[in-house]
Amino acid sequence: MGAALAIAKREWKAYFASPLGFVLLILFSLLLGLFVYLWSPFGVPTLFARQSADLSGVFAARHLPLLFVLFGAAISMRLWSEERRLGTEELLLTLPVRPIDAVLGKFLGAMGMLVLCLATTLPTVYVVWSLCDDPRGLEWGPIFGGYAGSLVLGATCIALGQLASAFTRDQLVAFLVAFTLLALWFFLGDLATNLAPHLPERFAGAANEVQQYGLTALFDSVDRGVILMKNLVFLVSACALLLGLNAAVLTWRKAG
Amino acid sequence: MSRIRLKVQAAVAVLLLLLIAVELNVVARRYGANARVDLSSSGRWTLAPATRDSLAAMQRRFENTVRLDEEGRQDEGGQKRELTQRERDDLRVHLELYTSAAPPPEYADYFRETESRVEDLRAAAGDFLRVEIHRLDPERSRLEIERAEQEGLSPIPNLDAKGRAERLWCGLVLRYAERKESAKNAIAPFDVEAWFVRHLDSFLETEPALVCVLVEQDLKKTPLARPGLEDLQSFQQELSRWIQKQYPDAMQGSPRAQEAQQEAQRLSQAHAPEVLAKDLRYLLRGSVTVRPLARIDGYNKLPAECRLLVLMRPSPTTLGAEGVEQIAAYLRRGGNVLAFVPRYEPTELQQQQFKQNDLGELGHYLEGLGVRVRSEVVAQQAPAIELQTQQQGQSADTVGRRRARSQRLPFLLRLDRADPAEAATGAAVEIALLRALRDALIELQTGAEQRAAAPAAERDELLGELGETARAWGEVWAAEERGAKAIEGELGLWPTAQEQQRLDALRQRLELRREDVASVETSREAAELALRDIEAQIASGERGAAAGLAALQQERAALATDAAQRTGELEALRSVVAEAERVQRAANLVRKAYLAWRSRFELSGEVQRQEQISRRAFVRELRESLGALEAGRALAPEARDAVDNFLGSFDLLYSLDAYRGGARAVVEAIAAHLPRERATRSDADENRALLLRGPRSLVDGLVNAFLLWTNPIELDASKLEVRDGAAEVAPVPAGKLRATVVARSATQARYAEAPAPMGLTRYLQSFGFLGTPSYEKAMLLEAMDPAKRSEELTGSLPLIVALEGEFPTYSGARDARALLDAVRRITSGPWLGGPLAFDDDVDAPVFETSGGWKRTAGGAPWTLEDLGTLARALKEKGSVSAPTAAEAPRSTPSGAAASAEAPKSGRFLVVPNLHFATSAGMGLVAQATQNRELSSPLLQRLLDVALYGSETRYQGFDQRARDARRRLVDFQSEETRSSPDHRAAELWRETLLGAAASSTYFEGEAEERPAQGGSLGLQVQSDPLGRALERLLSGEREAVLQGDDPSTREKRGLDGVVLDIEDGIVARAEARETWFRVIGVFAAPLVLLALLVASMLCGWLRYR
Repeated sequence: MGAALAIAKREWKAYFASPLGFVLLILFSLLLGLFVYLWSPFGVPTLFARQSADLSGVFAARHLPLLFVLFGAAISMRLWSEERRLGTEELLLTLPVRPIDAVLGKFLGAMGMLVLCLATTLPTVYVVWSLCDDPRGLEWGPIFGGYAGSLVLGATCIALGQLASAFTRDQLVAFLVAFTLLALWFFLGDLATNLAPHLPERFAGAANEVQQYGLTALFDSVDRGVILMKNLVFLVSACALLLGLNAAVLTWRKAG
Repeated sequence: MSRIRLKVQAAVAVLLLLLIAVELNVVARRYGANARVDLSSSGRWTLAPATRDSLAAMQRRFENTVRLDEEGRQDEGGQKRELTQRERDDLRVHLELYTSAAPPPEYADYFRETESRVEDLRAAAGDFLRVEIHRLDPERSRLEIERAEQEGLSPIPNLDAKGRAERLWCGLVLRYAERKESAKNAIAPFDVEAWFVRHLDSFLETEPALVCVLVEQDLKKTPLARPGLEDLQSFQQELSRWIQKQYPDAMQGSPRAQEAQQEAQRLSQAHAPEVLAKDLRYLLRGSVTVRPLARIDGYNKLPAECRLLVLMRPSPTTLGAEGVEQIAAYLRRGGNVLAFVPRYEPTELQQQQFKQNDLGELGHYLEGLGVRVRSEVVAQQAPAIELQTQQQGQSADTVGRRRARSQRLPFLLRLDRADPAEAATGAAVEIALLRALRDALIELQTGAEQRAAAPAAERDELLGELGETARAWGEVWAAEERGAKAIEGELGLWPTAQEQQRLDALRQRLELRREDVASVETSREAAELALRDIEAQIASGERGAAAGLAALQQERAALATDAAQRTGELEALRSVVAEAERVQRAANLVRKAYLAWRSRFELSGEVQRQEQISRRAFVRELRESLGALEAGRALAPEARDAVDNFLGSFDLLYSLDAYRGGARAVVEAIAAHLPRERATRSDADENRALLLRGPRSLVDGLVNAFLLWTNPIELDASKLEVRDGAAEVAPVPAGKLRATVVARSATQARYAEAPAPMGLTRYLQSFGFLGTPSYEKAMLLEAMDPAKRSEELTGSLPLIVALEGEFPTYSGARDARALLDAVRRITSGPWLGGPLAFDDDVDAPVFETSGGWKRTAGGAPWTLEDLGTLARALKEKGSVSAPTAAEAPRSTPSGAAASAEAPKSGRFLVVPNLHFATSAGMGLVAQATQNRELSSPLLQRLLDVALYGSETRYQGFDQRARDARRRLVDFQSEETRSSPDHRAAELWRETLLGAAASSTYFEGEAEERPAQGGSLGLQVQSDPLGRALERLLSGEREAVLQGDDPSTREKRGLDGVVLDIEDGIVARAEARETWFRVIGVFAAPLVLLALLVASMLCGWLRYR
């Protein structure tokens, strides 16, 4: 685990060795601020239109998942492809570090970046807290629940991007592959919903079932502070499986 | 080799991981489909345990049914045959949600929550529940919309952001076998979960709750029991109306409609008491079992499994001593009793076909149950009037009409009142006497009009009839005198402290009124003097200014020749000109101020003129009526003279003493005449003495009647501030409606009384109760987002509104109830519905207060102390907690001994008057089983306990429902509250509205004139003052008063000024919002940008 933490620390620093990390954070906070305060591409009412003292705008079922599609791929695109491009992957694999530790280290580094992205929403928490017009104050449960759910969903997106990054030495290709996969996942629910009426009856049920695994459906109730166990189990198991696959790919590559 | 092994190990590990992940997900979906971590403070996004129990029970039942069906079906080979998919579907419960595909943003949360709750139900339910969600698009889903309408889910009208009408759907349909339930508007706060489980439970109920109805079986066999049968018939008609109201669309021709129609027809034709049990059975439709009981005694036991006992006409016949003991034991076990008390009982005497129910006897029986019953004097007066009329041998129709009237006299059943000398007794007598007087006068006047138009023969006949009627009226008076005697016997000396208090209050009001008039006159004279001074000043100022201008012009002409040398002098003269102009502007301002004063005085003068017109109209009407009475030879010449003298000087009578004196003279004359035909001189003297001395004599009645007729609606908040131990408000006069309003912003109560048929919505608007122009708008408000709703109501929603009154028409009472229901739904806070009674029947309302339960009876009003206590509790706690089971509906006998005997776990509700109670009671019982919406909290809890065994079944859910959404600060409301300009404008607007409301006296008069439109909701103005106010509000005078640029102000009026102020408020609110938007959007990027620059700078410095 010590090796994993060392790798995570190195990855963390790498993000801010160039302006890339800052640019990502600024873009993330600007886009999310736009969605929450000014205009939502999905018709979600803005904070002042809703007049609700909560972070429903931040944790709306489509806002954060959409940003995770974009920024999950961007954060994770360099994790392995950069190593392969610079030829440092072999060096890393020859070190006395287990592939799974290396995978976990890079994953934790990327998660640190994700945490920073979510931290850019703290001014919104301040705004809601200072404007709450209820003697009971803010309802903190759904807010913490929203952040927890976002972390789990973001972790799965990063794990997918990290796996995509392991197959190529070009960051742009890694980004495009991860972005495409995540976008497909994002629109999976809509695709299934729209296809279901046109499918034969025996497939319609399956389409409805598939719809529940869409990225937005998995995040649907998080804004209310409700974390459905079935979604949590799915996301955690998917994340573990993707990281395991990533480790397996490294093992195969190491084994030649 | 090791490489291959490594690869295989990795592949196996991945496969294992995949297997574990799939297994975990299957298990999670299969067994934990609805498991969740609910981090909301009240767990409001989680189904209640009771709901899950119901779902599990229904699933077990479904599986059993499927198994039994499959075992019962064998194919040709004798093997068990599995049910087909369609056959399984027939056994399932189907839940359909019809929702709008694109709900407007302000309601999106509600639609989503409803859908989410339906999804939760789908996930938590087993195989037995099939859920379908239809998303309706008005342009694309035509077939589905038609289907929704067939299911009874009509669209909810709404206005979109651009003000265009749009249709929304959020309705639920629940089917099981042949049964179907639907809810048109399932938007929160509609309780989807409770609604669903409520009906699911009724589907599940294999052994319905037992409701026993104790009713006398041989009612029909006794021909003398006609009034009782009439009561029953009235009830059945009410029931038919109720069915039509509940199932308006179902009455259009569906099989169920036909069934309902046939049932209603049968009910209207049948008179047997067994029908009562049948009615209940029909209304409750399988959710309870109704068992009629003829008697409860040593042989006929009250069933142990009975959950609700309904006592119809409890009497010694049906309720023996052992029966009382059984009921007492039943109450001690936690049983519940609902008693309907009749007014009449059949009698065996030939001379009296029926008699008043002996409440004393009933009280004797009920005492054992911890309930004390006391009859009112007026209840004994009603049959006396009727019997006297009947003995005169009048026609059957006339008798019928008289009986109909006398039956409308209120029957008061008073429970555990601490003070036996309640004012309501006197009020009831007054009401009865005044109403009888009014009816007689109207009838006589109508007869006189007909007589004028009829041929001579018919005229003679009418005269004869009038004579008979007048004699009948004499009998009525005799009865009244005897009643008064009874009053004296019962109530003792006059006046009581409360009566004296009321009279003193009336006298003080009159004195205050006189003082007000005097002070207004004084002010007016002073203002006129001031005006003359001002005008003189203005004239002299104008003359001086003109002279100055002329001089200046001369000077200017002279200076023009020598301008270069005298520039300094010219500048000085210009400043003098500017000063003169300033003086002229000041004079103009003074003139405008005077105009404002003068318009106010014109206003008050107009109000006075309208009062006089109304008073004179009433005098004329009364004079004509008494003239008709005199024409019927009912009054002696001296009585007529007294009446004429009184009426002639009526306009001059401005003090209570003068009223009393005049009225006393009238009564002297009438009383002197009345006994001549039928009574001895001594009787007449005694009766006259009684009438004149009695605390609730006709003199007071006349005085009160005059005051009520001549006084406009009162909107005097200052006299009714809530204080500890404040005086009671007097009982509501007959035919009047009183609304008591406690504003949210202050613990202040306002009340007013109005003629009952007056437009309720508009009437309530005069309190600032509804900021909406119509009842329909109130219904729309119900579906609005709370934030928008609060904007709409502009913070003026009152905390408490209690409506009290009697309604002479069914439609009046219905409108009042509908309005109350609408308002109750749009308010999220606690709600008190007042005692609203059909016709003269009197409900026994029970209110829930912070201190437990409050019972009033006989239309007795809320005291301000009650309202104050409640208001304070609400202000301090934010809500009023529901009483615990121990506090809840108790009979609350006043005596300590009775208290000790009171059942602690049982509940007893006595509803007086069979006619009303049966219809309303049955309606409420049925309503309770339909949708859990009841106007009486006590009855709702009672039925919950009776039918479902526990009133805390959904306690958890209720807590969740009470956990309201937390709101952000509403900048606009905040700015509005802090704007003195807006407050001033609203105050003025309210004052004008109050004046306009008080200027309209009669709804009938208003209805004759079509609505004239109005910018402030003054749709109806029926007099010159109203029209003048309308002109004022629409801007004609406002332009003068404002005195700004006429081109922009001329047509805008008060509304224009308010709009300007509101524009400023909106601008300030938006500026504050923008500031927070900037913080939210740019705070983090700016900080990050600063960090980026700093980091680059550091790098650059390091590089250097």
